[in-house]
Amino acid sequence: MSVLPVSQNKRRALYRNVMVGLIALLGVLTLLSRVFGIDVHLVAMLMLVPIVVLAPLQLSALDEAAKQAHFSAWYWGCMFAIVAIGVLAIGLQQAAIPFEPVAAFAAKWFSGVGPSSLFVAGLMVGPALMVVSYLIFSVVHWLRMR
Amino acid sequence: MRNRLKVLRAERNWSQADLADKLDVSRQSVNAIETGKYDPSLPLAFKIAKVFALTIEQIFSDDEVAQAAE
Repeated sequence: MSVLPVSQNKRRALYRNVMVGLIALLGVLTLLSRVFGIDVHLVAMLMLVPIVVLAPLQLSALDEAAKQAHFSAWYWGCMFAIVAIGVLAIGLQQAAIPFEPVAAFAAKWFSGVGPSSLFVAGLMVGPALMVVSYLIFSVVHWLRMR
Repeated sequence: MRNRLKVLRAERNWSQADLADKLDVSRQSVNAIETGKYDPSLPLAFKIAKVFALTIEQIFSDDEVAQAAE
């Protein structure tokens, strides 16, 4: 017998709540690591496993309107993020955008300004911008559908 | 696309949440369909028709056809 709720709506809510909880916990771990210097890398890596397992389950449990909203927000969010990344990259390369604040950001959040830290910072900026734009477009979509 | 979802639901004294449970979709989706902000897929339209024991044409109509009829 399955331990999951029979109702699709209840199952959807369960997946969503667990996912939000995991992501919030990941955020708390990141803060602990950055603010208090606690090493949480291994725990954070292990937490990605249930998130990756849960993501397709959550997607399959979404109803068609929510799925369309999700895809639409990802499409426009990623489109916007790609443009923003391009502007940032060209701006930094052409020195139109000052590099010092970016280096300070990398030093604060990626433990240093060495090449590896800056590379990691560069890797993280892309997905971070995509997630932020996705959230903005999700809110816009939700407001339009109300 | 126009639909009579709100009227049919009211006739049966169902809330949006009741209908959402019967259709296995979220209440927000029922609201979006009712207000014409989202057009359901064909499988969902069939499911809606089945829940109300009507045909799809008795629930949904094309905008232009509905305007011409008025």
